[in-house]
Formats: sequence, structure tokens, C-alpha cells
Amino acid sequence: MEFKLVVSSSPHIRTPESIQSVMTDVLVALFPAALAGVIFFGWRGLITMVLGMVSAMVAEAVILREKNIFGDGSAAVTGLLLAMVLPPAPPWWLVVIGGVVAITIGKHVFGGIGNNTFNPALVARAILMISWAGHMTGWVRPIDLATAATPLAGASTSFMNLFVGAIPGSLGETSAFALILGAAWLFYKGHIDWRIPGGYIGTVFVMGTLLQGYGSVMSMISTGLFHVLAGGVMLGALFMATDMVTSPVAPRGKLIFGIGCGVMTMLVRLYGIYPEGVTFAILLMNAVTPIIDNLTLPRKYGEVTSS
Amino acid sequence: MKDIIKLAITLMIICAVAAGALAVTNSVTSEIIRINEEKAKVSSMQRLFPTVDKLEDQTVDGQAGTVGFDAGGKMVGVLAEGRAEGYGGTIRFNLAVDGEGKIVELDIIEHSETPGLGAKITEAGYRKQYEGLTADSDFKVDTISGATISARAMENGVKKALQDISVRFLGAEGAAAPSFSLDAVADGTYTGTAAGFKSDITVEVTVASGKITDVKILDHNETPDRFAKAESVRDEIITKQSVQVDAASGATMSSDAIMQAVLNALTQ
Amino acid sequence: MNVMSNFSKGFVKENPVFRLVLGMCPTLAVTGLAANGLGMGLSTTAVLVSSNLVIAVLRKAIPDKIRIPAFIIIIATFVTMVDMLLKAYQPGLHSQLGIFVPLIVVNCIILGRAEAFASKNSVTNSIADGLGMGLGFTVALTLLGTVRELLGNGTIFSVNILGSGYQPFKVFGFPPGAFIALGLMMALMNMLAKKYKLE
Repeated sequence: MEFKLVVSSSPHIRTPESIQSVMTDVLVALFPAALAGVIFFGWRGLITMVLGMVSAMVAEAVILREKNIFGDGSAAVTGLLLAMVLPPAPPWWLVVIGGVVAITIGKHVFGGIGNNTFNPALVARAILMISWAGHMTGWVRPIDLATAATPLAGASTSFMNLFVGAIPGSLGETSAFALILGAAWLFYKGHIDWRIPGGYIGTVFVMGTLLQGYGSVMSMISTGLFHVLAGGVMLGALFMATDMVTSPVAPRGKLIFGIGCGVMTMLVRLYGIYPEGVTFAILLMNAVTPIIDNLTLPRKYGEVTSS
Repeated sequence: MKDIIKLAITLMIICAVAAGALAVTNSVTSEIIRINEEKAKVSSMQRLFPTVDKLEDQTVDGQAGTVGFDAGGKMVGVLAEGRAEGYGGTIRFNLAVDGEGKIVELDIIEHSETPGLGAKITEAGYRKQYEGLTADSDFKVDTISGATISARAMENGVKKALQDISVRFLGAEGAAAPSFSLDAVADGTYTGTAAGFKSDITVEVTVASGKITDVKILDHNETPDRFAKAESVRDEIITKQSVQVDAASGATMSSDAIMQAVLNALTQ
Repeated sequence: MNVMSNFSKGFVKENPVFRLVLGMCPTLAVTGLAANGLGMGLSTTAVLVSSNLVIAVLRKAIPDKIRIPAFIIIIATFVTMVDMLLKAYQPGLHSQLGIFVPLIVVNCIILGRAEAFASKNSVTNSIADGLGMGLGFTVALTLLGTVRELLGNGTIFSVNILGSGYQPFKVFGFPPGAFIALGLMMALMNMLAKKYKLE
């Protein structure tokens, strides 16, 4: 024995990562998309985002009886994500109810941070969508803010607009460019794994191409691309589905999770009664996350398979 | 063995008593239930058509309807079911039409439209707009914001149902069958428009020496994959030289709209 | 256990909905409106009292081995009778409750009380138990119906409470809202139970 292994009592290595630092990274990553939202939808978009964050943080502080309103930052992230999946200019009470619902029913009912089964922002969005569908689909065109339909409901638009985000839609979901920019930061910091967004976006593209595409190969591919860029797939795949608490841990599980989200989204879009299915897809897959985790346990080091 | 027989007999006695109790209850209530149902039916018809005295269930051309007559035996109204292809699936509705062919009430029986948006077709304020319309009316009602497809489906569906009911139960003249003859159409190109599933469809028809030689779709905003199916209708029209061809399955509304648009183009 | 305590336990201490968590199907499905909750609760009470009575009378005559089928037959008979009677004398309520009246038959409270109580206790006690449990169920359903109707529709027993400016929190009228409302009310009940030491 050349060297000795020393077993000391814990703690061993301290990671500089804390909930607060991760959450700050996420806020930084959301900044480009939030900025795009303000550029396209004006000061009302900004108010919606501030309102969402403040109401979520206040609800969190009240429940935890915490004096520091920023806390660990997770409420701010939830509030901002919620605002980003709302229409650009909803009534103020809708945002406040959403923020409170996200923190209470979405998170603390399950035991607080780390224990929630479902993505809190999406829980709030689903509840708001069912309750006030009229307000939740008040889409407006960017810049001139005239009422308009989303591309998913049939309005035609160019791919450049879809990519940059100059289309009617939720506050933070329209700009694929800004979302990818933000996600790149999270990817660089190692907070997200390519498997969930990759599986999700890939599945949406393949299903869109094969199931709704028609005609020449080029036009089939453009249908698939349209499904990736329109609506909430980018925001959902990069920021919602990748939520650490509510998605599987193992690499294989992450891939299954991403593909499942994609399949669900496309089933709702093509055959369901709502034009968009990202919210429901991610919530449904959140529900099966524990099962996926159980089925995809990585082999322990040195373990021999029994069969 | 003896045990099993004893158990069986006990259970049988319980069953027999239960059956007896049910028979008694049934004999007491069945007559009341029947009268109630009859009354409910008549009173619901009376709410719609105050002079109704007698009801008769009729089936004409496969469509079932309840026809109401007044004391003098004059027909005062019909209640029959209609269908529309909405955003989420088939919408079933009841249409009450009076003797003059005017809509008295529209009632949605079943639908699977989006809650809060398309589902607004069930609201009284929306349904009221149809009251008083006849088969000749313009059939433009206020649309529902955020649910254009559901509203459009209702407009088309109610209009179709009203025409069917007028023809089948009220003895109205059938909607003038497309009795045009191609011979009467001069050579040239014509454009026509008709309402499809989601949008208006505009076609351009070319007629040369008494034949339809080409049908072009100029403009539409239908769901791409569905519309691709409906486009087969275009070739059918050219090969059969007729505006009455089979609708493409899965895209009935778009197919019908193409035929209607061609007809509109040629008969203007 | 005297008759009085057998009657009163169903309201709070052993409330079928909030404490025993029995009969969830009707609890979640018909409580969109307070009136429906009340109607469902009273129909269930009628069946529960009758079946408890008959089963307590027959408890010595029914052999142990066939007690479950025997209970089911007795319960099913009463449910069918309630269904017919409602249809004959309260057609409006009957059409509101729809499929949920026949479904009383599978409500586990009824079989549960038959098995756990009526088959072991005297007739008076069984009636008291059935009445208490039934009314406890009714109170719980009406309460849940009231909360859901108020939030989801702005009304209570179809009387407008919150005014025409209220934008209904519609989710509470739908099935997901039933789960959320029931969960929150159960949490509240647990909190109160702890506070007043009901355990």
C-alpha cells in the first residue's frame, strides 16, 4: 500500500453552490427573454413581471415567516417564470392570484422547496387558464399591441419573426433567440442537462414533421420547425421542464422525461381542445417523475445485474 | 354440503324479499314517472310554442324530431337535433323551429369546446342571437373573441340544421339543388368564395368549351393537413365535371366549402 | 357508547369525509353546487339509515360467510328505491344528480358502516349511527359545495353573493378544483382538530 485512504468525518467537500446561487443564475439566464418581453410588449410587460415576482416573494415570506423578502430566491424565479407564461397585459389581480397560488398550492402544500411534485409556475398557469381562459388568451401583437391570434391558432408569420420573437404570445415565450441565449448560460454553469430540452424539442420537431407536415420534404420540415418555435415549447423545454426538483435525476430518465413532454405537447396541440399543450405536458410528466426515477436507477458501482 | 345449501337459501330469501320490495316500488312509481316525463316534454314544448296541445315524434329522412300541433291540429313547431363540427369535436344541439321556419330556441346538448373560450357557445347571451333567424337570414351573429372556430362552426351548423328541419318537417322548398348546367357558362375564369372550417375559401375556376378545365385555390386559412385531404375534391370536380362530388373523409367542411365556392363562381 | 354519542360522532370526531375520508367519489363529483351537495347527502343518509336498520335487524340471521353479498343486495335495493322515488317525486333533483344516485350503491360509507357497525350493534344504535354518519356526510358535502359554488360561481344555493362584478374562480367548479378545495378544507380540519385536542 503506497498511499493510505483517510476516512474523515463529514463534512467532506463544500460546494460553493447554494440554492441562492443557483436561483441567481436562473434569474440571470431569464434576463434576455424578460428584456425581449419588455421590448416587444412595453411597460405593461414589465409591470406584469414585477407584479408576479413581488406577489410570489411576499407569499413565500408570509408562509415562512421570513423577514428577508428575497429569501433563497426561488420565489422570485417562480414569480418571474409565471409572468413569462402569462399574456403580456393581464389584469393585475390575475397576476397576483397566480403568484400566490404558485407559492401556496404549487409549492408549500407539498412541504416547501425541494418537495413539490409539480412545477409551481405551471400549476398556477394551469389553474388560471382553466378559471379565466378569456383573460389568459388576450394575445396582442408586439410593438403596436393590437389584439391578435397566436401563430398556433392559425395566424401566419415568418420564421424570422418566430425566431426573434416578434409574434403574439405569452410575455416571455416568444423569443426563441433570447431563450437560447439564457439557457446557454445555465448550460455553461452546469445547471441544466441537454437531455431534457434535447428530447423535448427533438420529439416536437419529429412529431410535427411527420404528423402535420405534408407535401414536399422541405415544407414538412418547416411544419416541424414551426411547432418548435411557435408557442411555449422553447420556454418550456429550456426553463420549465429542466426544473431540478420536478424532473428525473438519472440521465436516461431525463431523456425519457423530455421525450414524454414532447409527445404530450404534440398530442394536445394536434388532437386536443387547447391550441397549446406545453403546460399540461410538463405537469403530466412531473406527475410520473418518481416512476421514471425508479425505473432508471443507475447501476451502483460494482453491482452485478441479477439476470 | 348442508352448509352451502343453507347459505344459498338464506341469500335467496334475501334476494326474493329485495326483488319484491323493488317490484312494489316500481309499480307505485312507474306510472308517476311516465306521466312526469310526458308532462315535462309537453311543458317544455309549451314554453317554446305556447299553443301546443299534442306532440308527435316523427322521423323524416333519418332525422328524428318532435312535432307540436295546436288544438286545431295545425303544426306550430318542431324540436329536432342538429350537429356542428367544432374545434374540439362534434357539437350537438337542439333547435326549436316554429311553423314559419323561425328559430325559437337553440340549446346546446353536448360539446367539447375549450372551457372559457369555445364553451361560451353554451351561454344564453350567445344562443339568443340565433332566435328569430330563418333559413333565408344572413346568419352572421357576433363572434366570440378567442373562439372564432367554434362560433363559425355554430353558424354553419345551425344554418344547415335549420334548412334540413324546414325541408323535412315544415315542407319548405328544398334548397335549390345546384341545377345549373355547364352549357350556360361562357368560357372564361370565374372566382367564388365559400365558408370553410376555419376561414373563407376562394377558388378560381377556368371553363373552356363548356368544360371545367381547372380549379385553383386562391386563398384559404384552413388547417394545412386537413386541407391537403380536401384538395382531392378539386380533381374530382374536374374529372366528374360536377360540383357535387364525394367529400374527402376527415375534411368534410373544407370539401363542402370548395364545392360551394366552385358553384358560387359558376352561378354568379 | 350510548345512542347519543353514536349519533354525534359522525359530525366532527368521525366525520366520514374529513376524518375517515370515505365516499370520495360523490364528495368530489357532485359538490359543484351547494344544493347538489345537500341533495346527495340527504339521499345517502336515507339509504344509510334504511340499510343500517335492516342489517341490524338481520344481523343474527345472516351467516358470516355470505354477509358481504347480503349487505350489497340490501344496499342496492334501497338505492334503487331511492332512485325511483326521487324520479317520481323530485324529477328536478333527480336529473341534477344524474348517475350519482345509482352510484350511492358503491359509496364505501354505506358498506363500511354496515360492516363495521350495524352488523355488530343493536337496532337503535345502528339507526343513530346511520343518521349521524349520514348527516355528517351531508354537512361536509354541503360545506364543500358552498365553498366551491361561492368561489367558482359567486353564488350560494344559486343566490348571488359576490355581485355581478366578480370574475368567478372557475377552477373550483371543475373536478381539479374539487380536489384542491377538499384538500385545503381537510388541512383546516386537521389544524382545528389539533388545536382543540380532538385526537
